Amino acid sequence: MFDTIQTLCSISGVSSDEKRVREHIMAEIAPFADEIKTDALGNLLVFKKGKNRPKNQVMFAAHMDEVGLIITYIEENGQLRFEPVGGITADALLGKTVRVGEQGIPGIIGTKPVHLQSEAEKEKLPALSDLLIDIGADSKGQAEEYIKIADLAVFFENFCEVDGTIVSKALDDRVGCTVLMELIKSELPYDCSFAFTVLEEVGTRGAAAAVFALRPDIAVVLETTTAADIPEVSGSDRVCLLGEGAAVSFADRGTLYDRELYELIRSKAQQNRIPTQTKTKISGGNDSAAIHKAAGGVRTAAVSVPCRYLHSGVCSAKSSDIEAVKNLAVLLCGILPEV
Amino acid sequence: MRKIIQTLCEAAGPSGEEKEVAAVLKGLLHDLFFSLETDPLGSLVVKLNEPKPDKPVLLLDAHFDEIGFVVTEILDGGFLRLSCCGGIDRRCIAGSRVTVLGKESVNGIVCNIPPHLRGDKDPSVPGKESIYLDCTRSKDELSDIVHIGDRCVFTPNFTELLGDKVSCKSLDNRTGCAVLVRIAQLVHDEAQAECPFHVVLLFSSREETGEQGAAAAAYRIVASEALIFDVSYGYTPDAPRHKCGEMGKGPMIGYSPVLSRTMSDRLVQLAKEKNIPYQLEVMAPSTGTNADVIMAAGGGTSAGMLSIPLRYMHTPAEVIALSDIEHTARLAFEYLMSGGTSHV
Repeated sequence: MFDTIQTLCSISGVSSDEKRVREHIMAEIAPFADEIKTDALGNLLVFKKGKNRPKNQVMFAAHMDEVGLIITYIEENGQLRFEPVGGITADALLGKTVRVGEQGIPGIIGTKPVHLQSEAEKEKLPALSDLLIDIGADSKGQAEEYIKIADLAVFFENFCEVDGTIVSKALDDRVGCTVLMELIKSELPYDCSFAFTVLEEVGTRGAAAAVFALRPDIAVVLETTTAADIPEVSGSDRVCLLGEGAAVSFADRGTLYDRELYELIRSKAQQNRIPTQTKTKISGGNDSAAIHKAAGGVRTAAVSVPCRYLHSGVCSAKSSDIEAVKNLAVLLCGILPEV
Repeated sequence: MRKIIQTLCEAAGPSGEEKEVAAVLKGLLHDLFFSLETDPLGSLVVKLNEPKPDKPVLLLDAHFDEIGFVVTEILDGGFLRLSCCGGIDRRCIAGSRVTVLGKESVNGIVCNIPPHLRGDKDPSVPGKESIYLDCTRSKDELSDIVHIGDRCVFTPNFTELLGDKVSCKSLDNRTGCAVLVRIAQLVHDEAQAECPFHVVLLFSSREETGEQGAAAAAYRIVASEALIFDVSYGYTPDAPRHKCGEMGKGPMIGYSPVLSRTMSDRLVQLAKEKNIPYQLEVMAPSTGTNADVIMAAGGGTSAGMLSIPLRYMHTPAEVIALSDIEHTARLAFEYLMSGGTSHV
């Protein structure tokens, strides 16, 4: 499973450009799925028969897109102006390396040297609109040989695993996609649907179309969610903790989750010795925001891998939490179709 | 040169603990020197040729330390508290990978407060004394390997950009070190006549934390002339143009009240004669580099400066153009073979 995560994380797939991720997933799951369809937006919709016909149609969802940048302009000096695609702040970019365009041209994002900054400037991040990507081009003409306006850029990949912690770009949400793939590759107790969605990072814009096509009664979103269990953050602000298991949400900024499902999931997990926790702060959001109100309404739950430094090139999550999310998803495949 | 600069940058050499870089340099210079030794402050002193009573001494300096951090506390949860050593641009470090030089190397990530906790406030910049490193191990495991006082550097991240541009941590000032290595190669390979100087390469320690390495070494070496090699500001659109040089346009020949104007003029003249691209850099009232302490050491030395334009100084991903290393080394080589200026 962790090899799959590494491979998926290494693929470039910024919102609207998910095709490479989708093609890889399709190739992997094709032998195991009964129906595979790509909809008009690029959502990958999969149906797999299980041993029994379910009372409730259940859909598991994870998004294929990652946050990134889009090139808006090429300066005369060969540097590139950009806008974020998804919620990226300047501190995730300054001093970092990205890869631009189809060829993955490396670029550095930096500013004037600290020696030439005022005391006030040293303590304040510049606006994103002031930043430029430097690919080493000396002129607009040279830059245009390698990249073009509207090209997308991703964080430079640098996957590593140390002591049970995985650090990589795009854990959000290739981790969720990997768990869906594991489910599809296994024997299921009931028929089940799976939606690999697009455009989550730019406002959960793909997921509603998946619901429209699949018409589930119950949906479970498999995601990553912010863990702020770092120094100088205390109490409920920490939201959820690495190593404490799957984070099952009762609410976030986009969704009030189905209360019965939330309690059922947590108690069944406990009975089956799968560690879970909840988010101690109402923050963040995911495809549930679109899913739960789509096509007449869907009872929705979210099960997430706690992840530090989301929306950066160094998302960090524990393998034990990823295992917990997977084990919980497997469990729910057998429970939710019959509640 | 690409390989040389990559090898130099990948070595860990925070100010005061430059041994690893010294070992790399010893390897790179292996058959190019007359003698090599380390001085009490850790600077590497390399004599390219045999000292002779009639030969004036030319000191070529490049600092080989890099900016970094020091561990001040081991915290619960496998985090470390770090302080800065050297003027790091703290706006650029959140989410950067840092290597802690403990009993073994430990890699960590610089923490930052996630957006949902900032409210409407701007993302914050970590304070000088409160940089937290996420090492994703238990406190007990960490305490076995890492101690308070252990030094840290940015994790190496050498990347090739377009053309001859490269990016890595510690290009400030492994670039200068690479210039000295290149000069040693040129003296060995191309000096047809005997070199008019006794040439001493000084890879000085502790520049980033107060230039003490160069001050002490220059006192011992007693040179008639010195050339200092460092990096300077490579122009980016948000910087004042008059303070910057341009990458790829050759060495920035320094003019400053603390430098010898005769040497500066001679370098410009030689660059023109030998068709070496060059730029000018005016620094007042002093240079902010080892030149300031070298010229004043002991009985005093005439000093000149050649700087290589570098973008994103003191961040984890600095950038230079490799051609600038070659042109800088060549200009310095022409200078030393022509006999300099002190006995003109």
